[in-house]
Amino acid sequence: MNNHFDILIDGSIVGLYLLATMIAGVMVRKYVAKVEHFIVAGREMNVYLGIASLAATEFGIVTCMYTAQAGYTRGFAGTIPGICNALAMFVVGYTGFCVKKLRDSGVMTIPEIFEQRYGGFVRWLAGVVIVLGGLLNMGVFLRVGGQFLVVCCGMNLQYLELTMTVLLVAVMVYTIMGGMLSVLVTDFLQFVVMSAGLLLVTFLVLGTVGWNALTETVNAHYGAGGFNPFVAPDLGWPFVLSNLLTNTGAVLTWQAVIARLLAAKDSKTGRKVYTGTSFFFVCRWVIPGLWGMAALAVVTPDMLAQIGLQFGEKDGSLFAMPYLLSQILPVGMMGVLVAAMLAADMSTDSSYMLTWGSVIYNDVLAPFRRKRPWSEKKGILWNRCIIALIGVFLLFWGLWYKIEGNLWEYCQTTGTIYLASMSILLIACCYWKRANNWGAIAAIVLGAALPVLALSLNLFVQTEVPVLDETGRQMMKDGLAVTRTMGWAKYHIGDNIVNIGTYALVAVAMVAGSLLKPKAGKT
Amino acid sequence: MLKTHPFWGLLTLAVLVWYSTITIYVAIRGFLDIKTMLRRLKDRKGNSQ
Repeated sequence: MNNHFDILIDGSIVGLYLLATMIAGVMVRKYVAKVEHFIVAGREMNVYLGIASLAATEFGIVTCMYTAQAGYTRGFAGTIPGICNALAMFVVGYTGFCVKKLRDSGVMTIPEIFEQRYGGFVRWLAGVVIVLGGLLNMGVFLRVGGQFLVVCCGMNLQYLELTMTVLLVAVMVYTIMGGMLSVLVTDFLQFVVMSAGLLLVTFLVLGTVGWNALTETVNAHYGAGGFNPFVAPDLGWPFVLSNLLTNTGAVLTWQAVIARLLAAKDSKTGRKVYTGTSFFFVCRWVIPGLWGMAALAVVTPDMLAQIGLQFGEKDGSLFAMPYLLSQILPVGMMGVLVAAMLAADMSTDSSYMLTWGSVIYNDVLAPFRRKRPWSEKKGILWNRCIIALIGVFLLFWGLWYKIEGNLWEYCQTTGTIYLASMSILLIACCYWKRANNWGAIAAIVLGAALPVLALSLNLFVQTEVPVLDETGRQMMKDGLAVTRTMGWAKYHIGDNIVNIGTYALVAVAMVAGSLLKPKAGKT
Repeated sequence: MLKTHPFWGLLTLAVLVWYSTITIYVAIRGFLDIKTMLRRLKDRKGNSQ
């Protein structure tokens, strides 16, 4: 594959950025004296640093890849999750729904607030489920990030693992040293680099392909369904509802997002961070979505199939965007793009490692600290060790797991493992006096079991499905029907219905479980 | 841009204008926030010693 990455010019831009990030990240380690500094930056984060950090955290290479894939495979309708996310974040930030009570409670993680209502066991169980869902979700980040670099920079495939390892170790070094303080400072730097890169590339893509060509391509491939999700055959109301639920759940309980609220000076600052960042979530889907649609106009399916085969993937749509960029960006701009993407990826990786590490320390290990509280020094040491272990896990999980189908749906399903139950638990904890541990346990178990079951069915039970042409008729080859294998749950139920069903059943479990528990004092 | 598919045209324009503006604004104000945050942490560390 030809590409325009010049090792001297573009490599220098990337190297300079990496050096600046490492120096900034490591320098703030001297301010870490307590566990509170390590996990929530001493609760000294103000509005604009919060906006930069939240935006940088929630945009990684993996985000760019799945949003561009959505643009490529669904046109403008594929950007609907971003609109749902922005709406949810603005409404929650503006009204303070749940988040005000959460920040005012002074907790460092979501499960900590559950202990006050549901008891210590629910806190521990919630911690386990959050870590499980979060790590499964994050597990694909490294591989996808590496694939982007291979396609975009023309990097040799044999160096993918090595590059991923070096990148992860760099992130681990500053996260382990400075915790949330390093994360916030590097996030800020990464926000500036990432945003400049995203905007420059978008102007270049729009200038090269043109708006009219973009809309005409989407229209030719997907018709009205490329612009309106309600009329798209594979989307419809389940897609919109599922995304509304997932994004509301994420705004309320996604620990990486909530960490910014909990690190804020007070609940008013935290809410301002939410409302101020909300529109970024539209940008987060529209900008790479436009790149994906531009790829649809320019890149041939044969080329994508060839790239997909290189990675052993059946579906090449994930690589359309990086391949397009490798072809249209000139020398110099490639360096800006790669620096921007590395910035995006590093900020996400560092925040996520810290986030899940915080939950392991604060909630999963909470029973071990009850009898004799740990010293601040011991607490910081444990946090650092946990982050290092998460890094090792990510390396191994990221190397062998391969995603089937749409990347966003994978992230949504793994996220639902905890988003459904935690959001219901949080709402009930804040606003329903009858909520208790019976309901909470039933909700957590069901909320984790359904998505895990769906993922397992997709992984281990494959179904032969017919391949249709653009007119919806069965494709034939040598007189035989063309088929492909697909996960059982994906084909027979659909990811969106699994997601909606999980939220509904979790809510029922919470209510039923809470009402079934006898009231204290009654025989 | 706005003649064909005005909703998506307007949204794309809004994204580009808002993101360009907010990047510059947040870059300046965020830098000041970092300075304040580190100064306050330093003061708190000094007071506790």
